[in-house]
Amino acid sequence: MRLILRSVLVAGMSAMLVLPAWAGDVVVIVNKGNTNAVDKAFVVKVYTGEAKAWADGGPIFALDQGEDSPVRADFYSSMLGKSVSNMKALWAQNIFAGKALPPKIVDPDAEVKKVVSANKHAIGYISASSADDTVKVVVK
Amino acid sequence: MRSSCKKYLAVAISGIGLAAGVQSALAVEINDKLSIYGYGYQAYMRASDNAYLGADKEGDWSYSALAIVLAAKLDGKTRVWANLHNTVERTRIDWAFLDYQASANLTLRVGQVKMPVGLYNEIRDIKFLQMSTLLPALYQEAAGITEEAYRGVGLTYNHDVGAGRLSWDGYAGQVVPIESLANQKMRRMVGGRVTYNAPVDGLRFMATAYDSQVENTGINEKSSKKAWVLSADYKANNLDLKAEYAPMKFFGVKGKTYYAQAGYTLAEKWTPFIRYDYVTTDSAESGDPSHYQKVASLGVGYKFSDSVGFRLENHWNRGYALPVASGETVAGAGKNNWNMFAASINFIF
Repeated sequence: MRLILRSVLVAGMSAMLVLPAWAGDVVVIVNKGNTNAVDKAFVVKVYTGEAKAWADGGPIFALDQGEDSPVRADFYSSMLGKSVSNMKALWAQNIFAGKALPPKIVDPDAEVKKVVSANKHAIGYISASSADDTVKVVVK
Repeated sequence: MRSSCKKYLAVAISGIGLAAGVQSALAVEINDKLSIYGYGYQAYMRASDNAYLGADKEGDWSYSALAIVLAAKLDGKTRVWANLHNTVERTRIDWAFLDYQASANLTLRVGQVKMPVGLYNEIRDIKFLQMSTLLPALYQEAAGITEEAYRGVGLTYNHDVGAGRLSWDGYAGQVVPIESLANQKMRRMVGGRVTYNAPVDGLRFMATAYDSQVENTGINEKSSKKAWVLSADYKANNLDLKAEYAPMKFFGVKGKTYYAQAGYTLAEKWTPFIRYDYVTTDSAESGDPSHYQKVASLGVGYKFSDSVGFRLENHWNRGYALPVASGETVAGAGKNNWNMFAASINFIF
């Protein structure tokens, strides 16, 4: 019985260790010179069109990845809790009500890093394995 | 009329082709500063008895539209928006305004802006984003509660409240009606809407109020038109629930409307829906079928893609206030029990 309990405990702990790693496959990045506070709630506001300016007043230049990018679906589900289809409907609502324009499509990860490192107001997402010191990772 | 129908059907079909072709991008991006979006629909409607929205016993194809939305970024904080809307009756700019992001939470607008009323008014013409081809009575022109836009200045202010979020819309200027009437002159208007996005995903509540002054030039009489709307919306986990209540007063006449609507999306494609809708255009005469209308609706939508959809629905009516208010059916001469069938294709790009 002890052996079974120990196995269950080990399996449970392994799962706990594995889950955060899986959820952290996508990271949100900003320019290294961007000193604004960014948390997951703020990222959700940016990618749903609610936030259009940084706390310091600068305009947000949000980047999305193309439909064929495997990172995009991961980002939508893990970070925003929405499907790609839901996000399209949400942006259509923003556009046709004249409220907000969708993020600019830029991919792959290398291109996102290039744009973010060159633009102080940019925010984007890439796979965790692509992150390096050219950009600042703000949300994992 | 036949040539018009053919023309608009052709426009709708070409629009669908265009939508299907660019669905992945959802826009035509001319350059980094200018984007073009669009939407349209083509409906067939048939009313079993009372004529309404152009439909009668013979059926009608004229309920259609094609529109283009232009968005130009002037700089990081300033944008210009314009919506060119074409229907069988008219082509006009529904709204065109300059939008300035004054701070992280404050947006200012000046120009002709879609009026923020309830859940649907800002997207009243985009059938693809609605559950039913026929909007709830609250948004139908004949009910006389909502307007197309305001011409003036407006602001939106957002801030967090605990784990939720509040959004305030305020505006002042002049009414731009859905259809201009020859004997009505729009004067000043002031209004606002507050939206509370609850911490529960997909749940929001709204309260809208506006007051406008309208002059009836035929009898040289001015009147204040007042309306307010309470709205509740839950959209998550494939479930879409909406309910709204709206009383109004215009030229001394009180009216009100409310509805509840529910839809459920299956396999990301099919959305069957039901709705119950009530409207009275004169509360003092609410027992007269030419002044009230109760509508039970049942329909299903199908999404071919994230840009093109199809919808079939039937609306069982008791009373005929809206056909009378629209001027298509004469008070006292309508049929109390009647139904309206609608099939439509709708798209965005």
